[in-house]
Amino acid sequence: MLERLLDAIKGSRADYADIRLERSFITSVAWRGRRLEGASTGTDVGGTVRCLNQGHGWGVATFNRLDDLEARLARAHELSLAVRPAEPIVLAPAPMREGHARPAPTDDARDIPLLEKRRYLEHLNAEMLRFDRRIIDTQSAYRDEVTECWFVNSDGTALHELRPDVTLSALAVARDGGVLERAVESLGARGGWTRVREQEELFRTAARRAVSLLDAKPVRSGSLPVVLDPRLAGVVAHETVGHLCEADTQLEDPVAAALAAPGRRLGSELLTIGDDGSVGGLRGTLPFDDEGTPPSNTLLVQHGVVVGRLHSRETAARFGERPTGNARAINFRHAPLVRLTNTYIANGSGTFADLIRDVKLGVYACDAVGSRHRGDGYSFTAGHGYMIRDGALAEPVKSVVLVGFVTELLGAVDRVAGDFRWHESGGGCGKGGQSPLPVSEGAPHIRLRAAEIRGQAP
Amino acid sequence: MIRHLLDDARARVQMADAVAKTDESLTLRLRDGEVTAAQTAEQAGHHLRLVVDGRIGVAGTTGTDAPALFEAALASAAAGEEAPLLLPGPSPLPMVQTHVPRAAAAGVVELTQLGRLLADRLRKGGRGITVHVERSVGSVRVGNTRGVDTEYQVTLVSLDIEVVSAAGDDSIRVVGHVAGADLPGEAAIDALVVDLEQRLTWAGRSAAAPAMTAPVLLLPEALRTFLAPVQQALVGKAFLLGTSPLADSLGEQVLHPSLSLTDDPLRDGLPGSRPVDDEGVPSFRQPLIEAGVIRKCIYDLETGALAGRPSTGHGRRSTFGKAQPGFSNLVLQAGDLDLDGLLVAMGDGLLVDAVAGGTGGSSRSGTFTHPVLLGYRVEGGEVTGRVEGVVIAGNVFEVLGSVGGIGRDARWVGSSLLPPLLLHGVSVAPR
Repeated sequence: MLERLLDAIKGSRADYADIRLERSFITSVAWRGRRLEGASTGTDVGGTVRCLNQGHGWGVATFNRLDDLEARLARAHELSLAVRPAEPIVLAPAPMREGHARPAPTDDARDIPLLEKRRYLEHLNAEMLRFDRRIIDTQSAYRDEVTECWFVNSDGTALHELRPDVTLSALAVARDGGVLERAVESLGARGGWTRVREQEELFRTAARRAVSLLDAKPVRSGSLPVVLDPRLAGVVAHETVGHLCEADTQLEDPVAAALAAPGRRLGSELLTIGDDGSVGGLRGTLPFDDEGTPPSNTLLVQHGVVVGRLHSRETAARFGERPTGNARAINFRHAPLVRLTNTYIANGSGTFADLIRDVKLGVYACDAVGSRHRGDGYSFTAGHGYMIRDGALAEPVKSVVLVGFVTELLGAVDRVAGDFRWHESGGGCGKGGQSPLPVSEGAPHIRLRAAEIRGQAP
Repeated sequence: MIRHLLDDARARVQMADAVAKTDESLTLRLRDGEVTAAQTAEQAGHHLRLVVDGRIGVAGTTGTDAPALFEAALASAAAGEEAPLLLPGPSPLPMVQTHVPRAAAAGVVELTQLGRLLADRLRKGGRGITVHVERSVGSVRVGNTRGVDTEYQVTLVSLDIEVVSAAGDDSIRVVGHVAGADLPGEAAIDALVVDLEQRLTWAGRSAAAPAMTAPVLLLPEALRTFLAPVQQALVGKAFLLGTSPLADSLGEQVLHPSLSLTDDPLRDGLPGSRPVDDEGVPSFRQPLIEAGVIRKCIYDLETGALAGRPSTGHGRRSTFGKAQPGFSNLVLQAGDLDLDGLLVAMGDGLLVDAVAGGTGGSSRSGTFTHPVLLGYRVEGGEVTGRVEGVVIAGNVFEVLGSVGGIGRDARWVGSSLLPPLLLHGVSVAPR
C-alpha cells in the first residue's frame, strides 16, 4: 500500500502533498437496563489528501473510495490554488521518516467473536443491576476500533501503523422516592481485549456511587479550600493550560494568546504541566502524529510560568518553533488540528492525607462530568465529592461546581501531592467538530487554598 | 450493492433491509471576503439489517465488500437483540422537493461569490467576518426484502456567518445561518443581513441585567437549544423506557394552548425534507403538540415494534450502528405579533439571542440552566443594550405553560422553523 501511495504522490503538482488512508474495524455492544440495545459491526475505509502551494492555502479532499488517488490529489491541488490565506502558510521542516508500528497481535479485539463481547457486557451490566434494588436503570457500552493507518507525504515520509482502541462505559441510575441520581464510569485503552477484562469493579463503582448520591446533600456555595482528586486535577490541566497552549487556538483566540504567552505566570510555583504523546501505552500515545511527526514530552508550564506550546508543522513555522507531534485528526474525514495527547500535572510530594490534614472546613472534589469556559472564566462540574472537616473526610456532597478565572484557580494551588496517576477515560476531547479524540490525563491530588464552589445558595 | 445484498438476504434470512447513502460536499471558509480554506468530501456508505430467528443484526461499511458486510450482519444477528420487527411493503411516495439541479452544479466560483455577497453587505470597520459556505449533493436509496426499492436525490446549501465586532474593550459575536436545497436567493440574504445588523446594533451598548423574575423573550437560535428537552421527550424510545416526562400525557393539555409543534418532512427544499425515511416508510406531516395537547411521539420500526406501535416514519440510519428515531423538519407554529409587538408585550425583561447548552437540562426532569451567550435588556418595550454574565434557569415543561406571546416572523435554524417566544416564569440570575 505504501508503495502505491508514494507512486501517487509523486504525480502531484502541489508544492507539498500528503495522503492518509485508514481502514477501521469497529464493533459495539450496548445494554440498557435488562435489554440488549444492539450488537453491531462496521468497516470504515477512506482517506484524506492535503495539498499546499506557495502563496496559497490548504486544499483538502476526503473520500471513501480508494481508487483514483491521482484525481483526489488533483482536486486538492486545485482547491489549494483557490485559497488566499491572510498570512502565508509555511511548514516547519521535517526529516523524511519511514516506519511501521504494530502492537502485539495476541490481544487483537478483532479476533474475539461478537457474541463473546455481548456476553461479557451483559455480565458487567448485571453487576450494576443487582448491586442495589434502588438501581432502576443502566446503560452499558463496549466498543472496539482497530485502525490500520498509512501516511505518506511529498517529502518522502512513509508510515504504517495499527491503532487499536477499546472502551467500556457504565452509567447507573438510582432512585429513592422522588430523588434520582446517576453516576458514570468509563475506561479507554489503546490496546485490545485483555485491557477491558475483569472490569466488574468499574461497573459496581458506578452503581455504588449512584446509590450513595441519593443521600448526599448539594454542597453549599462559598469560597473554601478544595482538594481535587487526580482525575479532576488532570481534566483541569487539560481544559485550561492544555487548550490554551495549542498554537492554533492562540492564533485564533487573542484571549488564549495573551494568557499563555511564554513567560507569563499562569499558576502557582508548585505547578508544572505538560503534554506527552510519547509516554508508553496511553490513549493519547502515538508513534507518529497525523503529519508524520513523532510526539514528544512538551513542557507547557514550569513552576507556574508558561514555557511551551503545542504545534503542527504549520503552527511551528509560524511561531519559529519546532513541531511537537500534536497534529491529530479524529479520522480520515478530517484534516489534522493541533490537539492534546496525554496531558499531565507533574508529581509533587506527600500523600492525600497530608493535603487534608490541616483543612478545617473544605471540599474534596472528585472526577469531572462537565466543564466549560468563556474567555478566561472556567467552570468544572465534579462527578461527586465529600466535605473535609477537621482534617478528615466527612459526608458525601453532590452538585459540586468549581468556578473561577484560570489564573485564580491555578494560582490558588498550595499543595501538590506525590501520588501521580494517569486516568484513561472512555470519552475523549472535542475541538473543531472533531470528537471524541482519544486522550488521557494524569495528575496527583492537588489542593487549592481557596476556590469558589457553586452548589446551593448559602 | 443494495440489490445484491437483498437478493442474498431473500435466500438466506427471514427478512432484511438496507440503506445506501452517498454525499459529495464542497466547503469553503471565507475570512473577510477571502477564501482561507477549501475542502471536498466524498462519502458512500451501506447499512444492512437482517433478522435471523427473530434476532436483529446490523452492520455497516464505507467499503465495497458486499459479502463481508453480509457476514458481519449475520454475526451481529447471532449476538443481536430480539424485536418483533415488521418491514413496510412498497407504497406510493409523497412529492417533496429535495434536490435542485443548479445547487448541485455550484462549484468554487459560485460558492465564493455567495460568501462574498454576504460578507460585503456586512463589512464595516472593527468587524471580523467569517463565512462558511457548503454545498452538498447526494442520494439516499432504501430497499427491503418485501419489495421496497426507492431512491431520491438531495442537495443542501448552507451559509453560516459569524460577525465579531468590537464593542468598547470587549468584542461581541453574532452568528447567522441559512440552509436549504437551493442556493439562497436575494430575499434570504437580505433577511439575514437585516437580522444580523439589528442584533449587532442591540449588542453595541451594554445594559444592566433585569430583575430575577423578568419575562424572557427567546429568539429562534436560543429557542432551539431551549426546546431540546421537549424534543427528547417526544422520541418514542423515551416513552418506551418511561424516561419521558410526557409519556403519561398523551392526549392531555400540558403546555400553553398557543403552542403547536409539527414534524414536517414534506416542506419543499429544507434540510430535513424527504419523501421516505431510512427504513422505507413514506413520510407524512405529523402534529406532535396541538394547542398545548401532546398528540404523538416519534417511532422508528424497532422502537415502534417494542412499544406495539407502528413506525411514524422517523427511522434514521447512518452507516454505523442501529436505526434511531429522528425528527425531520420541526415547525413551531408562529403567532401574530411582530418583534416590536412582543417587546411591548414584554415591557421590561431579557431578550435572549444565544445560550450555551447548559447543565442539568434533561429530558427526564426538564430542568435547565443556560448561560446566556448573547442577551439584551428590554426596558419600556425597547432594547436598551447588551447584558453580560447572566444565566436563565427553570423547568422547560413548566415555563412552556406560561407563554406571553409568539412572534409571527419564524426563522429556520438548522431543520427547525422557530418564531420568537415570550415566556414568563424563567429565572434570570447572575452567572
